Amino acid sequence: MSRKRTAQILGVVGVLGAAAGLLATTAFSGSGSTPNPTGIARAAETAPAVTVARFGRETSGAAHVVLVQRLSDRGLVCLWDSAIDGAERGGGCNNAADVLAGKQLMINTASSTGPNGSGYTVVRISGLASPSIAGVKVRMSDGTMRLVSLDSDVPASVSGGPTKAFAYNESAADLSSGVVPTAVLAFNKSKEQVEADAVGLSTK
Amino acid sequence: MVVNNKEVDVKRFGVLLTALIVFLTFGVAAALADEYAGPKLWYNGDSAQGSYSQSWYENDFAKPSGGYLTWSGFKRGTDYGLQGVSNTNEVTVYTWDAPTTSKAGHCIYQATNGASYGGCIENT
Repeated sequence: MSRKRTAQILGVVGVLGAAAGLLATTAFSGSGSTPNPTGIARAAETAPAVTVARFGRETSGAAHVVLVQRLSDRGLVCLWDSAIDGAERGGGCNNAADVLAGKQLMINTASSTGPNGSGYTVVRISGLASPSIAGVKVRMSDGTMRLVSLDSDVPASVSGGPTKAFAYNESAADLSSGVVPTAVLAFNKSKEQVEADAVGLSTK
Repeated sequence: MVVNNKEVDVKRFGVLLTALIVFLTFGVAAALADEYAGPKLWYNGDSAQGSYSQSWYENDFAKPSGGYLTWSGFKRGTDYGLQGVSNTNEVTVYTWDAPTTSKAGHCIYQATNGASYGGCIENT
């Protein structure tokens, strides 16, 4: 093979490689600030996490806990609903510079059925609250409320500031009656409601 | 290079080597992740579904700001693994550790506080 042919092949490979790299780097950078989502859960498997709350009695399967985790290399703080054996995990992340993203609550809702489904067998809500929040309640689809206890403070080294954690696990009785959470409400020390966050479950 | 009139074989080797490198560049990247929706502007109710594979482990819905309610999860027909919603404004991540199950990422934008730019990606 001539040197010219070798140079041509290397040139084509180089151009294709550069194109691949360009595609990879631009795919999620349209606004210039979209976080790179690739492998966040994988990255979270190795970064240290703190257990901040535990769910009450669960209806089936492995027990789950609430974890808070700082992913320093990505500039994120994540709130996870995680199986205690680590087999499954779900949640969300905010910018580490503003863990609550300008709100009073950061919440995740994990469930057994799709967003337009019915007949939920599992509904868990995990969350963080700002230090000014004194109480949290879950509003159900039938209008009733469930009081949620605020657990111990989250280490500031992880969350970046004082926050409290909570965990709610829908009871078997509520699940069987077909009611589901519709919102999480936050109350200040004067028992005034200061925030209501939808949880995104289907109520049909 | 010509050795005993073997130049054609060397050329073929070069072509095969090029094809292999291209496959590794694109094929491996494609096998590791599937950016199945966006980046684009999302509005309340917008949804997307990725390809089915046994290899997928995590499904991420990432957006830069705003859009406090996004849903992420995997589906197998009408069956779902662990899935759910977060009211975070950066990324919602759900995993399904079921290596023998063919599943597809699914994401929905549920925020009512305006549109948000972002996208969804399945990862192994």
